[in-house]
Amino acid sequence: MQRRPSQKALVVTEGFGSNTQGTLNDIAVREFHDALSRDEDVAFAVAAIMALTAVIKRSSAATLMGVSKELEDAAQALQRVNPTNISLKAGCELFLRYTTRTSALELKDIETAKARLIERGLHFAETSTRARQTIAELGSRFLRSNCTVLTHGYSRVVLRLLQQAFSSGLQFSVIVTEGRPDGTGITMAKKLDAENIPVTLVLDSCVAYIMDRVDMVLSGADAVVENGGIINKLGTYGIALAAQAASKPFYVAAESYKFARLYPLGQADLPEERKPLDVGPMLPSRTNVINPSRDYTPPQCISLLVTDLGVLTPAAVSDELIQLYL
Amino acid sequence: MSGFQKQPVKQVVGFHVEGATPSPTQPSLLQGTMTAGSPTPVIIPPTFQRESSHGSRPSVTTDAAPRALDSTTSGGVPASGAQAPGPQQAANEAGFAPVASSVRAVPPSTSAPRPIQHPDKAEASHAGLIKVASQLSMASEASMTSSGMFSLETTSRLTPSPHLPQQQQQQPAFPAAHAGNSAAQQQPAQQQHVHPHPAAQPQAGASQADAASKAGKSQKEMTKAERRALQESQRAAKAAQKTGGGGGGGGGGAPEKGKSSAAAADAGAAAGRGGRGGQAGGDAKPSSSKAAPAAGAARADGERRTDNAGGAGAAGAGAAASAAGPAGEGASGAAAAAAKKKKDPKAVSLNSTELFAHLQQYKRITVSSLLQQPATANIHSAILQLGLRYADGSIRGANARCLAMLNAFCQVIRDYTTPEGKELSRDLLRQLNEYVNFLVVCRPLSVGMGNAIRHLKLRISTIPPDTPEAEAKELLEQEIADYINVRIDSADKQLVNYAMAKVEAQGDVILTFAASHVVQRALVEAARAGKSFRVVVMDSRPELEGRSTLARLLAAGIPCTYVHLNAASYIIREVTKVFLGAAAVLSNGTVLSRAGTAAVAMMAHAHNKPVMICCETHKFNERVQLDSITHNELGDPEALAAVPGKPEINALEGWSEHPRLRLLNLKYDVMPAEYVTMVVTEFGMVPPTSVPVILREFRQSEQTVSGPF
Repeated sequence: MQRRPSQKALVVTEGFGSNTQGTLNDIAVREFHDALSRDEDVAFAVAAIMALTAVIKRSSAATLMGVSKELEDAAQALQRVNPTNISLKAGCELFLRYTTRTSALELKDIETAKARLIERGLHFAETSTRARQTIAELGSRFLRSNCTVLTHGYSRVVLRLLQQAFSSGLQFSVIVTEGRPDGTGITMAKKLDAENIPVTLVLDSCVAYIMDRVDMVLSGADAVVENGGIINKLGTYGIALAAQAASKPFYVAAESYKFARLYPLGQADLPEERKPLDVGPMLPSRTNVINPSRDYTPPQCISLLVTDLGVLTPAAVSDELIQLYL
Repeated sequence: MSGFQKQPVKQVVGFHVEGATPSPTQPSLLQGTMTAGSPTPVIIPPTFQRESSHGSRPSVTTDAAPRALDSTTSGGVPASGAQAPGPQQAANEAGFAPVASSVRAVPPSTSAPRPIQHPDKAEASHAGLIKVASQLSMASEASMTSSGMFSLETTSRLTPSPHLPQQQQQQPAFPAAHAGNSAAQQQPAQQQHVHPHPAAQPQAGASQADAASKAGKSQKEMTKAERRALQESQRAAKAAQKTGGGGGGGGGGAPEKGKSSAAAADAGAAAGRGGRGGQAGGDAKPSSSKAAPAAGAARADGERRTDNAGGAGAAGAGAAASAAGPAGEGASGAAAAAAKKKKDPKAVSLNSTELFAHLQQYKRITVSSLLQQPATANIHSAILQLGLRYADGSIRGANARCLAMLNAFCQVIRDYTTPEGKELSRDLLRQLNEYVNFLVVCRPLSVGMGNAIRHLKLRISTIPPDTPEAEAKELLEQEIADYINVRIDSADKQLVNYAMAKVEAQGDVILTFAASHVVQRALVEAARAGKSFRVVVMDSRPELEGRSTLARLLAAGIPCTYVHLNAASYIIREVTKVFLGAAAVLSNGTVLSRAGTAAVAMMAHAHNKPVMICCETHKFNERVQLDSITHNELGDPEALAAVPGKPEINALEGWSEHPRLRLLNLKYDVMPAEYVTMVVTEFGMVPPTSVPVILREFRQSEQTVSGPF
């Protein structure tokens, strides 16, 4: 969840379009960044939703078609801020779908319709913000006393879930992977430790070794794809495979705004995201380095997904998406 | 329907895609060869036109034949006529042979070039088709109703065509191919019919009663006497059923499986008598006396073979003298031989084929076999033509068949007039059912066709009774047009877009099996979009449909590899993705597709290659199927016996004579959902587990508004 350093430049280019759409996009992007900086717990998608709601508020379009056009443009502008973030894209798509889908369009008066849209946007933003708490409540029931949970990297929703379970008086311990190359696992360990939850840090390559001692794997997700698989930090797929081999349940905690209209066929079929890698100066010059930052875990490896819509099997994700998009 | 503009009904006669056969296009059909007022484009070569315009009414020149058929029709022959090995032989037996041979018709092969191509495969049946056309045109000259329907008398009075086989045999100069073909047409049908599968025995006479009643239904315009005759025959059939014991039989013209007793033959005879009486009442002009001897022949026939109690009995009980009669002469000789053979192997269990005894057994459909069905007389010519094209395989592929059917129905509705005192929705439904039954005889329906029919029926039945006819017809035509546009045409386009997006810009090796129109299209589109990939076209005997895929892909400039299914385990290693078409996707995610597809998917799954099924939602079905036995289609077993171009492979020659050998040519197989990575639909890509969700959404929208869109 790093912010892009070049946001200023982006704002400038968007802002000097001097037409209304340019201004609106400018507003959207600024609102987006404001939302993110206001609270570091705000997810990209939720920030985008807030930004898009702001666009409706400022919109001067006289027709609903105009409004949706503006919204789409603004969504495009937002996605340019971070083109590889799937949850941002998914959030924008879902919002557009959710707000413009049905009954608002039947209202004759444009002002009423806009008010309705804003209301919906706010509602959507609110549910999205509440999503994490809902998931924590639903998911904490999966933990039993004295169990050991393995988690990979840093995920705010997983953290919240564990906090919730711990505060309800449950005794358990957490094993956290290191989360190379960006060391997000260490962040996770720090936060858990601050909550007094017993935590163990292991190497990423230690997963299979430690799997015997684990009772369940709990993972976050960057995005949940159409078949119920997830896209998440690199290494998740390996953990899922190890868990499957050891017959340990693999649970995913993910908010519903991360449901994306994506259907990867395999690892090669993901939208590309590259992050710099520090392999050190020792590397021979002719060695190629492949350094993806996330992988795709197919639904066969996933036991259940804990979402704010309820606890779903992977197949049910597609059902939800079909109902939304069909 | 909201989002879609009212569009004119597209006339697609044979989709341009599937099957290597070039389909006759609309313009060529319309090239002035039609008789005025003829409802559907029928193709009449000049020779035949001349023949018909000469005015040599068959009813005048050929005396006996029409009469023989007259007795058929007026007696209410049920579907069994389809298997009847040609009334010709009956006629022979009854002593009409000389008269019959006096029929002089121009042999089809000498006719001018025909608009319907595809000479090798469908020569015989198409020749027949033209024959029908010419007859129909004559009919339309003689007495044609404005609705495009032919009344019973019309057709029966001028049908020389039951003689077709004999004519062909009698022409020494006739090309060998034809003779062979016609012989082939006769034989398998008989064998299948006359020697029902042991497993099917319990299903005896009911089919007869059933069929009889069906015939009755189709003949609303019968006179009182005819109707009485029919009732009589039904009663007789019922009695036969009691003695013979039996269950149900295929509707319409499903192959009569079933052994029937002499009683059944008696029933046939009774029916024949009834038919005679009925005819005397109804149509006095052509003397009806021939019915009786023919019926007698049927009885004699039935008695002669009481021990094997073959189909002759069934056909007879099917109520027609002429249907039963033909079991004479050479045909019956061959049949009897086959029957004997059938009796012996009872000691040996032929499990693999017995498993499939419940399916509609394959039988070759020809014009002459269809014309022996009295029901055929009531069939709209568009449907007749369609059925023949299904049967000879010149329309194949789920989409093409569905489109062609909808177009034919459109034609039917356009030509429909509500009879006096009837309600459009009811009468049209009844008529539609009749047509569907006819089409089933020609080839079992595909899932897509079933869905389309159900949709159409639902619409018809919900038409308010007080709607003016013109308006109702307009409504229905529009409905069909919408269905074609939305569920098939634009669905295809959408699907292709989704599918081609899954082709990488560089370096994909895509495996496809046999022929699927959408897969071909997706690959061609992907190539057009500048993606560079290679395609492995996998194929298998006996249909070798993959060659049409190959031709199309090569024409689009895509590098291809052509392999057979036996090479699957080798070639799968270099493949990155598998694109497959489907005949249907069922609600448990099971995919029904061309036989062999499941093996490909299984192989791909074992090697961890993604399997993508391209299937429009109009081919989704709520049924659940766990194996490929319960529902399937049987192809021509003969296709397995011979390898074209390899006469030295002849080990299976005369296989039908062998007591312990059966050939099984299954058309489809079933692929469990776990081998399917995704189903590509017009709504995007969904996992196979989500098929029921899509079905549910559709059902809901179907119930609430006028359509899913």
